[in-house]
Amino acid sequence: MKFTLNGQSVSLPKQWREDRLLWVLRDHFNLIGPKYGCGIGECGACTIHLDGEAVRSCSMTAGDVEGASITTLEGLQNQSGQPHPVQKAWMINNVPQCGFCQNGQIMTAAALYNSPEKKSDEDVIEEMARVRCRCGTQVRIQKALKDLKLGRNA
Amino acid sequence: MKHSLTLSRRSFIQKMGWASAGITAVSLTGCSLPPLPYRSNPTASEAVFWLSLRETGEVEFISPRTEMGQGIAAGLRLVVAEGMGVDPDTINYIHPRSDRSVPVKATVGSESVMQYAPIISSLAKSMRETLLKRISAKEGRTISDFRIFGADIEIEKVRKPLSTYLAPPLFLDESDIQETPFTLEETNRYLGKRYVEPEIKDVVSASNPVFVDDLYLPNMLIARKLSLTIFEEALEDLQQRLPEQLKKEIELVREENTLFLVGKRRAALENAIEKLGLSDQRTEAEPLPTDYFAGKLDNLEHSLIDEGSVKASEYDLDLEFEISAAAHASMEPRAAIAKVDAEKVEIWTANQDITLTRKYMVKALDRDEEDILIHQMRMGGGFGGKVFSEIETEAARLSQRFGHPVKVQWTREDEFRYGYHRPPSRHRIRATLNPEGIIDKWAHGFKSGHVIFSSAFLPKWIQSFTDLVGDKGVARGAVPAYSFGNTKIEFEDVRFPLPTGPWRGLGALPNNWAIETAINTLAEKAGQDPVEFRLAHIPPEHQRLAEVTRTVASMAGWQQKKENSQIAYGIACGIYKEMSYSATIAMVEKQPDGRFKILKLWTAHDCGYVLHPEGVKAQIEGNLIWCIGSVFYEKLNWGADRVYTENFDDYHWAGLVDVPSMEIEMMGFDKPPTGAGETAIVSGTAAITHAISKLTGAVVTKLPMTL
Repeated sequence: MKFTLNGQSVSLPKQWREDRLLWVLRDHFNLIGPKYGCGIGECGACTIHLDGEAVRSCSMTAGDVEGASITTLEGLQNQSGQPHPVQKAWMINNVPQCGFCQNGQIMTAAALYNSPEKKSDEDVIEEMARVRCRCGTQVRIQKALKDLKLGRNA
Repeated sequence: MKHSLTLSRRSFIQKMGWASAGITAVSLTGCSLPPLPYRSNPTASEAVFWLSLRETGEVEFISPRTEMGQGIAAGLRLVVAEGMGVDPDTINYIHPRSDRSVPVKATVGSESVMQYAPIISSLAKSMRETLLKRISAKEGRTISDFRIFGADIEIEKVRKPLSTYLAPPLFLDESDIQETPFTLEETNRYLGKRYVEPEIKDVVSASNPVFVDDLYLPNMLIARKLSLTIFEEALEDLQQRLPEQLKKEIELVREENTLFLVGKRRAALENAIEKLGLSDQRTEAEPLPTDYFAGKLDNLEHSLIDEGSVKASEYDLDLEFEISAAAHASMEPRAAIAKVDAEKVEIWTANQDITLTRKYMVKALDRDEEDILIHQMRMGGGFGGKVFSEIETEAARLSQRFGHPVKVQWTREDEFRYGYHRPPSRHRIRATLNPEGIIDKWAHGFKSGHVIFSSAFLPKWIQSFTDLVGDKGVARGAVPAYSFGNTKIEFEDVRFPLPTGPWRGLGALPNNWAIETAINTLAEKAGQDPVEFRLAHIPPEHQRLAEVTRTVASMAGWQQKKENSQIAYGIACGIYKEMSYSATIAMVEKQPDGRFKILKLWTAHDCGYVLHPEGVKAQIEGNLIWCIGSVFYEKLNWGADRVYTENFDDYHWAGLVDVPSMEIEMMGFDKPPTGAGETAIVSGTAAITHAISKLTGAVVTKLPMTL
């Protein structure tokens, strides 16, 4: 079972097809970007990109990504190792507090940023709002999103 | 029950700092004390182990405080940087480690800056002085100054490697430490300035392991614990029922009274749980079998203040308030890794009390203190919920059994099921106004669950003694800053089946909410402006509270505010733990669907000298967001034998769509530093509900609001 992971072609045993993708990424590939927060797709800490779209790896199986291109937080920087504009905005605005949810925040924002089709401001907020943060970094997330001009009306 | 204490036990309790908490009478015959948290403030003799200059020229600081998003790592880095005159990014900052950071108080109570920054500043300055003496001695003449640039040192305009002077590495003796006052200086290069600490870059880019679950040790196994309620079949039968493929990957073991599944991959553990039919089924919440707060809310067990008679034939205010239990809901479910062999027990974890954890493990594993090495890592949210659990001991027992490192991770369901939570509380406040519109009688009685003397930490036999004393955590914030005439404040801490414990601010959020709501209601009754009403009741010794109240009123244009049937403003203020001050104004709009939207929050905040302004501002924002959550969302469902709330689909708090713009002013920088991690929580909730009550015509007395 093959797919592309952060630009590299990888393969997995067929019998892992039904395994939760989050655990395959962490326990097999030792990637630390996508995090376990709830396991039911509610908090977004496990967010990755599947062919550019933000998806929740805790709610997917390894088989779901066969043939696809997966990017985790580790792979978000560009080929010369420069941070993604979302990562830069997050640092400039001192967004993270504990940091545990920030994989989800950054990957969701990055998918919106990278998408050729711009959503409305309300839809951007609604999508980002589905990623939970307990520390209360939302004020700074709002500021970073403004800086990034993610919405169509921005 | 009367017990006497031998001298040695009494002095032990006093040394531990517990005498001041009220535990002075403890049964001793035949009983050994359980491990108790260390409560003493840091001393120079403890601090000398935290800072060193290594042979390479690197500044190594092993922190005494857990970083859980409150920004203490950044703050203490800046303190060391300022004291030593080094770039904060060049410091090798290591999270607490039991061989150098123990004994140390738990990272709770917003005390880290107040208690630790001054001694660390003195430590860093003394390190610089001692280095200067060493350089002078080596150079054979008096050197008056130097500058450090990374691994180099510049002396009299000549640069050379700092390592030139670091054979041996530099540690301080207690006698080397000159304690100097810790104040804001105009000449500060690092303190008080904008700063992003290096670990934040790791968080944002996943470039280095930061949290416990980011660590993968060679040959590590991973373990998941299972609920005892499904522990009916014999272990061997369960193991037999596993499909062949999983039999090779998973082992089922019992350690003490817990069943664990152990294997290399969590996917396999989950598959096993599913194939064996061991997943818990969701249970419908049933109503509580009893009202644990039944009975009157006066003549209660513990008296905080009892001055004069509060009896009246008629009260100008008689309100009952109720607030539900709440979860911590830290984003990181806890995990711990243990690597155990004959010589050593090595642990990686993230909890708020490394000292208590090591003590507990010494007893639980019957090992010597020196054999146990605990590494703290960054914590994905604590909020009081990770002061103590047995996860490290669980991991150690499994590692001992398997001869491999073992990582134990709680699921989100485990966090709700096995963790402890904020207790619910019920309050009654009665008050009268004199003809001048000043409060002349104030009676506040309340009941809540335990917070400090919690069943989560203490065995049953100690609970009965602490029941005599009154849980100070429950009482936090219950004695307001205001001067009333006759005052009676009393409470009862109730034991109920829900495990309860410290939650951000402890009793401060519920108690301040009730008090400030009563104040707003009395101001209205007296026909007075709530700002002026508060100022009339704040005594001279609490000028800082008056200042934040005046400041926030000015920030929000309180006197010129325009209210109507759709938009209203509310206000509240308070003091956190007698050390930090905040006042908040909320502008709230009623929506067409009957819900409420907070349009803006203004907060004036005084926690003295601020080391890291952006970090403190972030804490203020976070606290206010917790207030919004308590008003609209946060409710834990629990029953006589279990917590019904299982995961985040059933537990909500304030999110991106709820958070308004915030205008924050920090003040009081000329005062000694106190704390910001829990301060704004005293003033946010009542400001919001005050505004809402104007829009509905009814005082908000039950949280969370049902809309």
